[in-house]
Amino acid sequence: MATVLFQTFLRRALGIASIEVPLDGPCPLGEFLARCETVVGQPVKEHILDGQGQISRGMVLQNGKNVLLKEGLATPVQPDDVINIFPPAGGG
Amino acid sequence: MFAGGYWGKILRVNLTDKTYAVEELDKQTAVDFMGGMGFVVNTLYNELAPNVDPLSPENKLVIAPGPFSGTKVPCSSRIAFGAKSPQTGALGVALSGGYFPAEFKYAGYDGLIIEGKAAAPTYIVIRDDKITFRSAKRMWGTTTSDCQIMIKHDLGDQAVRIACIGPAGERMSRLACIINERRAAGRKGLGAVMGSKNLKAVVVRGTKEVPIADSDALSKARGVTAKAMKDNPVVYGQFAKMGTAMVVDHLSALGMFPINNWRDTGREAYEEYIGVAKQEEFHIGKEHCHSCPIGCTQQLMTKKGPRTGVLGEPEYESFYSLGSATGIKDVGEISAADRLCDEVGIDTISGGVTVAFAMEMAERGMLDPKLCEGINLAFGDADAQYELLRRMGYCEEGLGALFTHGSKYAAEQIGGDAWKYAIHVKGLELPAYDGRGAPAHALNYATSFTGADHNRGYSIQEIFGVPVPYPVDKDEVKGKGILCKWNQDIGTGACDCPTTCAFMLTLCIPGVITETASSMATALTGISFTSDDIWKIGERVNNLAKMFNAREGFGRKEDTLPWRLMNEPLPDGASKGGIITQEKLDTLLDEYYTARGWDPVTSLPTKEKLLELGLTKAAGDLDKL
Repeated sequence: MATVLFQTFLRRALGIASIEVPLDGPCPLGEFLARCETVVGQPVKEHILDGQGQISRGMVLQNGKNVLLKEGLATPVQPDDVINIFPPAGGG
Repeated sequence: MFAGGYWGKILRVNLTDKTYAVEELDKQTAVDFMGGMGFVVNTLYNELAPNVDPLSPENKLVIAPGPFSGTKVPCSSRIAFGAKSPQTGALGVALSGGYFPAEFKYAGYDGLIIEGKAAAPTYIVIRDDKITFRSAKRMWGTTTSDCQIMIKHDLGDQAVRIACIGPAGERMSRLACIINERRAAGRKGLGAVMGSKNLKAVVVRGTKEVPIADSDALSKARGVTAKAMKDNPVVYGQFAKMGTAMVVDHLSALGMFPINNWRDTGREAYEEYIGVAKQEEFHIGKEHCHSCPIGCTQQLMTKKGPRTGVLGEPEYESFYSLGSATGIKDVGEISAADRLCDEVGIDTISGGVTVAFAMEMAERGMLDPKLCEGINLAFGDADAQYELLRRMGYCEEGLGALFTHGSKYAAEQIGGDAWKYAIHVKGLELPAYDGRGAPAHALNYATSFTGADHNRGYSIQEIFGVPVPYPVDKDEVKGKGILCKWNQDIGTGACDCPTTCAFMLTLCIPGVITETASSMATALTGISFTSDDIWKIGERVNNLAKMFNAREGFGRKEDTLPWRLMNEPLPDGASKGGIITQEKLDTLLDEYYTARGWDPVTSLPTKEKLLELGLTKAAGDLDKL
């Protein structure tokens, strides 16, 4: 099971702080996010992907590391990973 | 001489003689430094001799808006205040918003230089071309809100805008701030500089419309900015609703929200106690600055306890400094403490973090028990926090006098190992991001010319994952020196000199902000500013500020971090184990100085770098250091 943590306003928007997503093997992040939406029953991707379908807003960390420094949406998610999704934020 | 954006006038006021002069703004100064922080730094470098006592009449208070202030550029009502800081001994610059900046610009000046010392409490009134000095004897001792009310009645004019000090500034607390409306030029003790001059307030009333060189071009450039603001999901979706306080949840989730004087960061989920969901229970309204469509200032009302009914406007920093840093888990108490700081006129960040230091000192048995009689100085005690802040604001004998000048001063008085637990750099207490989890942000604390100041080089990449100029690994050290320089220069050049709110950079348009700043500056002023010019202005100001500090004796040794950040790893949370050891700091500093073109041994700019930036006088001054 991969664990997904939803942070800040995403947690409030979805009404849930975390979910477990069953995985038999590695799964590309883009597809993994679609599976998250199935588990949650609500859109998730629209909060973190821009108009071109890329992660340019917010932060997705795989075991604490920014997926943009890995393979982005092609980053393979492993069954024991912790995926931490921070929607866009800013301020002082 | 100027087609728009500028008046071409600097007002110089001498409080000793009660005289003033209107001087011409040199066009090259506008081209090289643009305005705002740029004017402040340039003026102080050129006019203050080294080793001036910050609380002497020889210090100067410089106030400067930018060419954007008072125009229709979004979020442009910002103004820079600066002097030699009594808190750090370095260059001190703080910016404020609200309505005062725009009104200042309407009065017809690009800057104000205040010199000397008045013989008795005084306030200055600037009504367009008419400058008067009025007695502040009756207002002396008033809180900042009451001062503003009294001055408006004294003048028979409810429309004036006022920047003033409270009791803390009058008594020259080194944490004293300058307040206009309920906004603050909060940090570096600039309120004490005003107090040392017997200057209670600067009052402005202006009737002039800021000229615009090319209205059509400005409208087009504004349109780009407005679209970027609308396209960003954070600006109107969250920021306009809950302001900066929403960042509590984010930093807590990252394990970087400092707790209990930075001892317990990551151990508790503070978003559960004081995050956005909790804040909403206290929320009763919001405020806008002039020319701002966002309105990020959130008004909260305390609903129980002895501070019931108090209205506060705490920002994210206060949720840390008066909340997690001191173990307070009550939104109402944080808000009330924030309001108290504004009224007595002390910096909420340094005030709260100094209280946190005091609490740790009490816990460690390092305070004289007689001093603590009648006050339970313990983490989590909101009454103790409120009472100590009040005593600090009034510099009361005992605990108030011990802590009113900040944690560095207090640690020196306490002695022993107290210094290890004082969370400051160069005397300025650290803001609300535990840099052990973000090396570029920590490096900014160590190197920013004002002391530990998140606004000088905010690491949006590490903290919010903004992939501009490129995505980063939050925990990685390599590359963070280069990134720190980038953040410092872009913030200075694109926000603090034109004057526009820093949230335009952090929230809206980090990828194109230099282009939008340059196009708006060109349209407004008729002077051709390119994106490269904006970068150069930022770099120039940071170099000149560094030279100011170098003349005061600051070198590599002072670019450091608190002992706790360098010796105690983050104990828990998502960034557990994070630490900035001396070895890491040296690596960061070496890369940073190299990126800046500074000597890595001395940390000083090289002559080549200063000449490249056109800082000829500063290049000559290098030989005297």
